[in-house]
Amino acid sequence: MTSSRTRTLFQILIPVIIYVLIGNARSIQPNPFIPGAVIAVYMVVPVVAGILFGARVGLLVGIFGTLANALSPAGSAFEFAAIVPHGVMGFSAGCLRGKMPTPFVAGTILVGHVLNIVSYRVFGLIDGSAPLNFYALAAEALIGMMTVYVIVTIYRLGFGYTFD
Amino acid sequence: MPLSSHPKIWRVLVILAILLACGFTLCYYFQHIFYAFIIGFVLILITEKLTSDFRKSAERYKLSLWKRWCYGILLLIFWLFVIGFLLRNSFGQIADELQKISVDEHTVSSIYAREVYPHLPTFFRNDTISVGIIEWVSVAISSLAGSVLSQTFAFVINGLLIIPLLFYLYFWRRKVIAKRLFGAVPERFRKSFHRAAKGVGGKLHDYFTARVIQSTVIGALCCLGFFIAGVKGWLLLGLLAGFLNAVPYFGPILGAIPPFIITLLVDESFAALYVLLTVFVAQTIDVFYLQPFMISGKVKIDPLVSIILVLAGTKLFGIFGTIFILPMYLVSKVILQEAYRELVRLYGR
Repeated sequence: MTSSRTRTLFQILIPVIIYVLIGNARSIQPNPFIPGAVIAVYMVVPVVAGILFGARVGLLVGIFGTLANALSPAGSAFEFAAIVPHGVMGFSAGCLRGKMPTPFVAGTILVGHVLNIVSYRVFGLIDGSAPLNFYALAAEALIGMMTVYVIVTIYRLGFGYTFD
Repeated sequence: MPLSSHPKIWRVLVILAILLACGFTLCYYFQHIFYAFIIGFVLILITEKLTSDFRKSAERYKLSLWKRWCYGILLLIFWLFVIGFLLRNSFGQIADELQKISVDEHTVSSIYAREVYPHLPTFFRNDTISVGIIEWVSVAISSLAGSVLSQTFAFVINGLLIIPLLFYLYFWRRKVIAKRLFGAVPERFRKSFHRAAKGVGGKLHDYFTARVIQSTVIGALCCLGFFIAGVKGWLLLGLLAGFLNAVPYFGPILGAIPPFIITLLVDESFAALYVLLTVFVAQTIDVFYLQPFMISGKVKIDPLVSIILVLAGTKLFGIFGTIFILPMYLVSKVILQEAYRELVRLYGR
């Protein structure tokens, strides 16, 4: 029981640390379409955690990872607004794992992006009347999906992981 | 169990050991071709793992045959696209940085003279690591890089010729070749030959699987670390660090040199520090987690024997010996053990 709890704790803690590290990475580029935000490479982390370790871990990584990143030097109002969307994204990835192939489960990143936009509008971080660049959103989501698939495949190759 | 005292058994075993050593020396002599064979073998391992995973997934989701083909081809195109795109991007970034360096006349020695030299104590400054020594090191590194590039070209040509052939032989002709090989062995030795072949295959499979896992994890960690550090061409340099990690003991240092020098040359001392930290973290995980918990279970070699073998291999065959002495030892051990068992059966104790 204790070992299972410890393992779950590590499964949450390590992705949260990775989330914050990527969030503060020097290679991250500013988002050309949402002033003040960055290209959200770190959004792949809750999705990967959800796919590999389940819905609960995905949810917690999404919430705590985003919260920790918001409190870190790279944090911004956008990060605080993204806490719930990222939690939902990680949770949905965990719920769908094993029910459909990984590339489709990675599509939950699109759910995260859409919820992010909704949340930014609700909190008034982006102008509600301004038109959205759907091509940019789709491109960011596609890159995220590809990254998730690549990471999950490498993990499976390295650790012999299966969904069963 | 006490060893046999039959002189004939030991005579045959010594001859067999000499033959194995000759085989290894032959591989060393044709090392460019041998490297291509090994890379081909590793690629076959990865392909087999991926195809078996794909087959399991296809069965799980009950995909029809044509859907499997479509899905497989799409995945292949996807992977080729991703790898091509990322590598092209990474190469482009590194090339841009190197071009910038050559325009700005930033060299290791000039950065050292400007940033590090004034802060060193006088003894180190004049006697131990003078600007002259740094210049000599940077010239040596650039000449080494030149020779590596020229050797890489020869290796690519060999690989293009050999690797597709290996894939064809393994995936389409494996059973036929094995059947012919076993058919050529005399009936009374067939059982032990089969055992030895299975043992050698198993040991090599385990060794290279362990190495691939280790390199993949280290490569992924280095990619992540270099990305966080803001190193230009982080993907390529991370993959290179993972690949070089296959060289026992010296690999991690070799893998850290290119990103460290590149970041230092583009005048990002902070990123250079991050590079060192990344390599240190990756090596700590390797030493304290990967090797004791993941690798040791697959490759059972005594650590002391491993160190002695690597040192001896390096002294005798250079970098080739460093990389291949351990699999050679595993193979020789299986063959000699099987031969000993068979000889004892033939001649008695």
